[in-house]
Amino acid sequence: MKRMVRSCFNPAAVCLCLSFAHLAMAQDSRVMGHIMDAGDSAVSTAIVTATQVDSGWKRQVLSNAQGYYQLAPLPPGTYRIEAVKPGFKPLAHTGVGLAPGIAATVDLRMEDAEVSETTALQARKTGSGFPLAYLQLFLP
Amino acid sequence: MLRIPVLAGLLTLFASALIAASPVGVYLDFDEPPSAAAIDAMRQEAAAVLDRVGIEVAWRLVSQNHGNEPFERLAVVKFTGKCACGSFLPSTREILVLGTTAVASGRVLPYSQVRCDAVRRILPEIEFASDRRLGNAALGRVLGRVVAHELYHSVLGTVHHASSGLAKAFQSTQDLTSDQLPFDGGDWDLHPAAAVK
Repeated sequence: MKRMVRSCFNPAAVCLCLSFAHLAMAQDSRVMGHIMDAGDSAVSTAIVTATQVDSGWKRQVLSNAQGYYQLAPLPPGTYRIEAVKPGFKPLAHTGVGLAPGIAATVDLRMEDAEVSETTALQARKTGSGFPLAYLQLFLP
Repeated sequence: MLRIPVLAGLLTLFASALIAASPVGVYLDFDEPPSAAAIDAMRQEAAAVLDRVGIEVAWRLVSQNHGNEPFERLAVVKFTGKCACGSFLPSTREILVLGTTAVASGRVLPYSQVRCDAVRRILPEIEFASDRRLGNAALGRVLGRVVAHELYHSVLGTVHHASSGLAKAFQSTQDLTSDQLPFDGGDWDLHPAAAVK
């Protein structure tokens, strides 16, 4: 057993594993695109989700100020690409196939939606307040 | 002969550890430049509360987002009003909304809003603190609790509120400024990472 464990941490074996990992990363794919609204204006801060259909594995990214996003690295497979943002209808593209090392472009045009509802945290002042000395105790 | 399965097992364990430790990316967006002390205290308090339920947070700023940093899960928190004490906002005993999370067609969207002015209006002892540094740190700690409450909705995708603890829909200022305001046991049971701790 000792010999087996020792052989697992053999530098040559570790190098081999790292080489395979590097090779696997080099084969990773990516999805990028631009998110616009109905009037062709960029949609910033939309959450874009890539979900691998077979495994359910997913990654999310936030579109930048110009509406661009890039999701990488993604393992090869078939993906569902979805964008959400309050004030817009959620939008999804299904069947986005990513072969090893491929970069796919998926541009999304989001339509306006009805006003979103919200869940709220409410509070009210209770008691008569406390002096600043209390704050000093309250802080770490 | 056993080397390959053992190596594969070790790699799988390593990958599982990475996934289990995968943080939630939380993007912060400010209407007005906040107090650095308040934001430091906010991050510290929210991270401490969420750490107790097994959630690790990676803080980011919307203003520095390039659109290319992937997370397993992310959320956006927008801060409205001024997140710094000392502009002498009039206090009130009315019920105010401190934070909201978006819901569309029954689905929770990971977009929250935290209302700094409302927090300052119900906590005059913080707003009018003569020591601005202490006031901002205390403000940040309360903001951290509001952020943690809204992330509970965002991360779990639930509109549910608890009957006690930080997941309660209504908080008093005594709750918000108490020594500790944790989530109740079981609040995060739906989340797979909650079982870790």
